This record gives sequence, C-alpha cells and structure tokens, in this order.
Amino acid sequence: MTAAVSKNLKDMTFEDFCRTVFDTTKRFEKPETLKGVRVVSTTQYILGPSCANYLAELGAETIKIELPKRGEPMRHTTPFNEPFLYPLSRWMPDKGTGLGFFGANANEYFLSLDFHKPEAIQIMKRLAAKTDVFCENYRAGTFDRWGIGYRQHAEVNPRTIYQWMGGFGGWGPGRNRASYDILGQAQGGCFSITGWHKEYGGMPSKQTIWIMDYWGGAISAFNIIACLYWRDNVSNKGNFLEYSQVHGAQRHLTDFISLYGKTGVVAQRFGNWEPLLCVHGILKCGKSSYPNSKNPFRFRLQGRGLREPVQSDQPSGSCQEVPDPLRQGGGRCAERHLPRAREVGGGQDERAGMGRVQESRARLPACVELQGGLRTGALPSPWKPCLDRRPDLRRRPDAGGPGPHVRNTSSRLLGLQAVRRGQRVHPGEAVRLQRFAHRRAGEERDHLKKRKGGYDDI
Amino acid sequence: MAEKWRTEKKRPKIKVLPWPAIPPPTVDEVYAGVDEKKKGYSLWVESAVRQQFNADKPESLDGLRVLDCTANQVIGHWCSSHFSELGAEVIMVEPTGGDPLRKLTPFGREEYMFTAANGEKCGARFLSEARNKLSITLNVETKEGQDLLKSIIPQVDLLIENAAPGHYDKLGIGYRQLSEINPRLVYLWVGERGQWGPLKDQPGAMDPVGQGAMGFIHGTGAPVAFGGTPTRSGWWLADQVGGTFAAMGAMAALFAREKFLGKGQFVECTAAEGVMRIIDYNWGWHGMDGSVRPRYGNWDLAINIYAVNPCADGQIMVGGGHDRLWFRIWRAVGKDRPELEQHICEDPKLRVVTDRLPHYMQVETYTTMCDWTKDKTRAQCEKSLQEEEVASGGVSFLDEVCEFPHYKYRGHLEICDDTNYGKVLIGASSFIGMNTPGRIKWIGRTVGQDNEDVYRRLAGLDRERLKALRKGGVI
Repeated sequence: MTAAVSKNLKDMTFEDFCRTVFDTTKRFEKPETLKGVRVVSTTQYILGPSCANYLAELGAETIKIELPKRGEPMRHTTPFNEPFLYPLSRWMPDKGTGLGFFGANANEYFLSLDFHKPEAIQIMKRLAAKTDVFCENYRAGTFDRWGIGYRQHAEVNPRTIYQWMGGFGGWGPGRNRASYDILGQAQGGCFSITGWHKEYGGMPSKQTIWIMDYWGGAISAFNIIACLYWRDNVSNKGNFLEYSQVHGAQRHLTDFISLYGKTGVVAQRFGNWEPLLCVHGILKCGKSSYPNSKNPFRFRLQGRGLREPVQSDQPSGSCQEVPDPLRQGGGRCAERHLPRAREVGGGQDERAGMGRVQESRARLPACVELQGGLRTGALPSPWKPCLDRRPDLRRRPDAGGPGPHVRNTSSRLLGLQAVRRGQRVHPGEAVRLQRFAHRRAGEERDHLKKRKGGYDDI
Repeated sequence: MAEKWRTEKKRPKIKVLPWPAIPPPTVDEVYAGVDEKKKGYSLWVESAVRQQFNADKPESLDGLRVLDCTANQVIGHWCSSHFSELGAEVIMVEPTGGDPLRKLTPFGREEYMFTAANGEKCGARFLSEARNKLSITLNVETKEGQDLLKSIIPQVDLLIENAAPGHYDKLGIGYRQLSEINPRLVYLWVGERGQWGPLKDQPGAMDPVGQGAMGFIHGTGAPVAFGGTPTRSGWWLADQVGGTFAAMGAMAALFAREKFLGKGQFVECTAAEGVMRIIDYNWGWHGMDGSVRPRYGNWDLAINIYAVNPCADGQIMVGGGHDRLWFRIWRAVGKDRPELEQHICEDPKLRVVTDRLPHYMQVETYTTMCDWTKDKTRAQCEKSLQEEEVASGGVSFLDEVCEFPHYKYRGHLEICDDTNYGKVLIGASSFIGMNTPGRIKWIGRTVGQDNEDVYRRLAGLDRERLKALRKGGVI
C-alpha cells in the first residue's frame, strides 16, 4: 500500500476507512493466510468437509478424497430432489450434483481413492509425509485399522495434525454409535430448549440448518489453526485432535448446564421469548390483517396455488421501532411455506430485509458461473479482514465430480507420472481418472440441453 | 409482601442431588466383554486425550495476550472463550460497574445467580463465558482510561471490541490509532450488523437481530400448514456461531502474523454473516430459481429419513437417507411391524435415494414410521434401531443430557471448583486433543478482581496511582 493511500486512510471517516480496507472486490489482491499448508480431507457429509473447507477458504491447499464412482453422499442431497448443479458426471448420468454439497467443498482439489485396495493405502501413506493437516470422519479407529491413522502418520511425519470428527468420539460407552447433525442437536440437548413450550402448542424444534455440523467444522478448524500456530512457533510437534458432535452441543448449553448443576432446574423452551431479557423476542409485526388496518396484508392466488402477499402501497410502517430484520422473520416471508416460491417482482430488496446483508451479498461475486450455465449465489464470507492482507476466502468454482484433480495432484505430489487421460494408474484401479470433457463432451452437452429445457419448463 | 409470597410460598422446595446423581461408568464397565483387538484403538485414544491428564500438557496459545473489550453481547465473550480455553491470557475489560450481562438471569430470579465469595452476584450466562478470563474494569470514555489502554497495547496480541461502529475510533483507540502504537496488534470487531453499510447504526445489538437477519428464524420451526411459526433458537445461536467464526478469523490473522506478515490487521466479523455462511444451500437454491427455503419443522428437505418424530414418551431422531441405512431402518421397523417394512420397501417410488426427497414422499415415509414409533418409548426405538447400527437417539432434556453416561464418562460436563464461586457444573471445553487440549482452570472473576494485578504488571501502576484512578472513576 502506497504512502499516499495510507495517509488518506487516516484522514477519511471511519466508515469510508472500513469500506476501503474491507473492500471485498480487492480480495484477490491480498495474500492468503494459510498459503503453503496442505490439508488432506477424507470426509463426507458436512462436519468434516466444512472443516476442511474453512481451511481452504483461508488459502490452504486442500485435497478432498472421495470414494470413486458415486462420490460422497452429499452429492445426492438436495432439497426436495429439485435443484441440481451440472455438469452431469459419468457416474450420475441422470443427475447433477446436489446443492447440499456446495456449502462445504469450495476451493478444494478432488481425488477419488478406493480404500479397499492396497495401492490406495500406499498412496495415503505417501501423502502423509507431505501433508500438514488430515481431516477425517470415518468411524473411529477405521483408518487406524487400515494403517493410515494418526499413529502411523505420526511415525512418518511427526508434524502431522490429525483431526478426527464424528458423533460420539472414539472412546466411552457410546463410541460405536452413529451420529448425524440432528442427533447431535437432539441428544445433545439443543432440541429441548428450542421451539414453543408444549402448553403453547409447540414441541422441541430443530435449528433449521445443519448447525452442529457446520459449527463443529468451524471450531475444529479454529483448533487446527491454533495447533499450526503451536507447531510452527513453539513445539515443532503435531497433534491428534478429536471433535465429538454431541460434545459441541453441550458447549452451546452454557448457562443451562450450570443452572441444572446449581438448582436442579431443567431448562424449558420459551419459543420466541427470551427468559434472560425482556422485551427481547421475535414478534409478529408489519402488515396487519385487522380490519381498517393502515397497512393491510392481502393475498392473492398465484400460479400453482401459492399464497403470495401483494405488495401494499404503504410502507410497512407499523414496525418501525422493531429492528428491520425481524420483519423478514415475522412478516411477509413467513407466509411462504411452499417450496420454489418465485418472487412476484422487485422482491430482492424486501427479501434481503436488511441492507447490510443485502449489500454484503452484492459485494461478493454474487453469482458464480458454473459449468452448464446455471448460476448459483456464492456463499458469502463471514470474515472481512482488511488492508493489504487477507486471511479471507475466495472461491474457485467447484469441480464437477469426484476425481477431476487426480492427474494434477497425483503427479505433482506423488510422482505418478504415468497418469494420462483414460489410463489406469495402478493395476488395482486404486486411482481412477475421471474422463471429463473430451470423450463424452458431445453426449453430455446434448443431455444437458435436454435437461435444461426440461428444467425451465417446470 | 407480594414479593415474599411470590418468592417463598408459591415455590415448592426441591431437593437437589449433587451432580452426578448416578456415578459415571468406570473404564472396566465400558469395555467389559470387548475383545482386545477391538478395544485397542479406543484405549489408545482414551489414554491420549482423557481430560484428567490435561494438567501435564502444554497449551497451544500459551503466551498470547487477548484484551476482550466487549460488553453486553455474548459474541465477543464467546469468541474470547476459544482463546482462553487454549491457554491464552484473556483479560476482560469491563466498563466500571461490570458488564451488564452479569445481571442477566432467567426471569430476573436472583436465586438462579451465582454468588461469589465477596457476595457479588453473577448470572449464569455471563459466568459460563468468563472461563479462564481475568477481569479488569476500565472506563474508556475518559482521557485517563484511553491513555491507560494505550499504554497496555504494546503488550497485547489481540484486541476484541464491540462498541458502536466508529466509537473507538472517535475516542482515539480504534484500529487506526492502536496499530500505530503496536503494528503487530490484531484488532477484531464483532457485532450483529457490522461497522459499515446502511444499517450499521440501527438499534438492536442482541442475538435475535442476528438470527432474524439472515433467514435463520424464517426457516426454523414448523410450516404454517403444520401450525408453526418462525422460531428462534433457544440458545444464542447467531452470537455463538459468529463468535466462533470471529475466533477463526482472528486466529488465522495471528498465524499469518507469525508466519509471513509480521504485522497485525483489522478483522471484522458479524453474527449475521457467520450464520449466512453456514445456512446450507439457501443461497445456491435462491440463486438458481428464486426459491426461498421453506420451514420444514423437524424434517429435512434434503434427506429422507432424517428427522425427529414423536414417539410414546417424547421424540426420537432417526437418520439415514442412503440405501445402506434406509433398508436397515426399515428392517428394524419390520421386526415389530413387517407390514410397514413391506409397504415402504415395495414402493417403487421410494427405491432411489433422490426419489425419496419430494414432499409427498417424505409424508409417506414419516407417516409410516410414526405408525411404528407411536407405541414405543425413546429407549425402545433407540435400542431396536441401534441394533441395526442406525443413527438414532431420543430428544434429551437438560437433566437427561447432564446425566447421560457417555457425556459424563467423556467429561463433556465437569465440576469446576472455583475460588470465587465454589463448585459449578459447566460444559467443558470441546477442544479434545492429545498434546494441547482445551481446559477450564477457573470459572470467572468478580468485577475488577484483577485490576491490581494486571495494571501493575502491564502498566506499572503503583498503589497510589491505582487509588487515584479508582477515585476518578477510571477503573
């Protein structure tokens, strides 16, 4: 940063200063925080992949290893089986990739390895010597049994940081139990304090997002960066870390646990009210359906029977005292409970509900052009670090299927020079090269056209 | 009089057993009957990471000094808890008189507060985020206060604040001024809606603003057709998620400072954006075809079976959308009700994993499933599903969570015997690790308890000077 600009920064107003230093369009001009750190992620679903993804967003070189053919299960996970992103992969000729996959796999290189083959184990062992961080979420002890767990990696490379993530952890009475995000929420206690009380007609409710997975990934990523810090600055030693999903849930129960310990009180659900603060809750507001209301709330029937609120002429002024975003939660959008509601028009502004969110969406590369011409809103970054430096995310478009980076990564890291398009690397089919564009290009294009046409008609 | 009636007469006396009411299982009980080869790994992990050995191990962030200048919001305290659990020296800089969060207690009941040895009362929410932190007071509005803060800054690695946007800058202790004193300082601002942008100055600094801001509340709870409303999370989700992201951003900045940058930087993280990052596929879906993700209650739009459904004594979670688990789930159901298994497994529309996702398919699945669960308790459902190795578990209430053998055995909850507050049950650090585990050393401090220690150590103040500052309302 030049001296002139620096001087300027000191004189400008604080808001302008923030606008300048956090300018998200300048992202790619700043260095990446974790550049040079190599992460190998043998994970599926959300918990593990999101952890590796946060590291990748901060600039680590992240290699994701999936099973060949179908890839990881999140690729087949998409709301109501409706939206899929293309290109069609060789292994899923009729489907693209489900949207569930894209929140936790950006910026990564994709390999496919079949761990049932001895060659795959050899490759993992060779990777161990050159890898800083392993993220893994197979059943506890599985990798250890296969000879590619922490204990074996640490012999080759004592600086390895190995993060295991999963449901109940590798030890203790529940160690053999399987887990998912909502099991963490349910059995960890988060359900029991969310939603309205039974007397108010409510029941324990899910936090709508896969929160225990995404948050668990975040806290694991924090721990990994802390361990990298310790390794590089203090000890030169690696680490074995374990994150248990149900444990994360208890971390969130903060005061409820202390209160139970002190008084035996079992925390209850209070819906949208907050027992700690008054007035502090989510109230229905905005347009009103009372007779003679200044701000009426009308409906009209839209195609497919959707109930769409009609925009009133008057601004929704009756909730001026209440912070804006609540309007979104309690007002208009609340009435849409059917999927695939299309905006009536000019809806962008109102949906975002909150200028800042809206702006931060606009600041980002709002749409990433993916293969196949479909557009997806890019996920925004929660950090906006500043100045001429940036531990910050940037997104490369996700690759299409499991394994497109086989050639690049395997030859660069493992010296597997023999990898050529369409040629098997090992007799045991350990590494399969995914044949991408060339041979099937024509075929896929045709298919895509058909599919797209069909899609738009829906 | 009314007060007396409310607090003393009406409430029944509850005899509270000390926690744990049932002792946790012993190692022998847990591994009884498991053959050597199978338990080898578990025993190794256990010996490597068990919390009872924590005190012998180093701490990864030992030597870092964090000033947590936030007040009245959980996000900053939650963020600095990450650092304090891993060994950084975290100093809470509270306004004189203490952080207003100290006074928060459910329904304003004083008997739910924790009393320190000196008689000071503190709410549980604040106390659980005061772990391992020192507490000093400082009035940054005064000139002396600002000078005092500036004199400490050269010895600080990370400063966290959540004042109104630009307020610290106006006071002369913002990033622009402090980075001149200490270029290696990482300066983190946390909040709900950011320091810039059209809504930066709007009122609303608490968690529901963050939760409501990005569609979380809109998506949580049952759909209107099921009698539901948009619902907030019972814990302070936006603050706690945003706080973790803030910690990650700040930690990455510290890592970069040591690795190649040589200087600190300004980092901003808001609760709303933390949750925006992790709100599943909402943006992608909206970008594709304008869809707004609907509320879907305790079911999941993208996975079937993956839901919490009612059973005889509460609710039971069952999960497993993919073929391997799908058929196991129905096998478990079929042991009692073969006709239900047959109904599902013979349905050609439910054969392919993605074909099960549309709404009407989910309705069919869960209607059939509830036909089985309605007669069974959570424990019975869990048992038959776990025999098939399916992820399942009952919805647990707080007492069940605190007494769950697995959590007790693994130390997810622990009793911390604190010099100030006595024995307090607390959710333990979730950083489990072999070499550098997270740990809880003390629960928290009373307001300004470490004033003397910290100001003597970092600012070189003597007794007279401290007295003068105290008299002037600076500390």
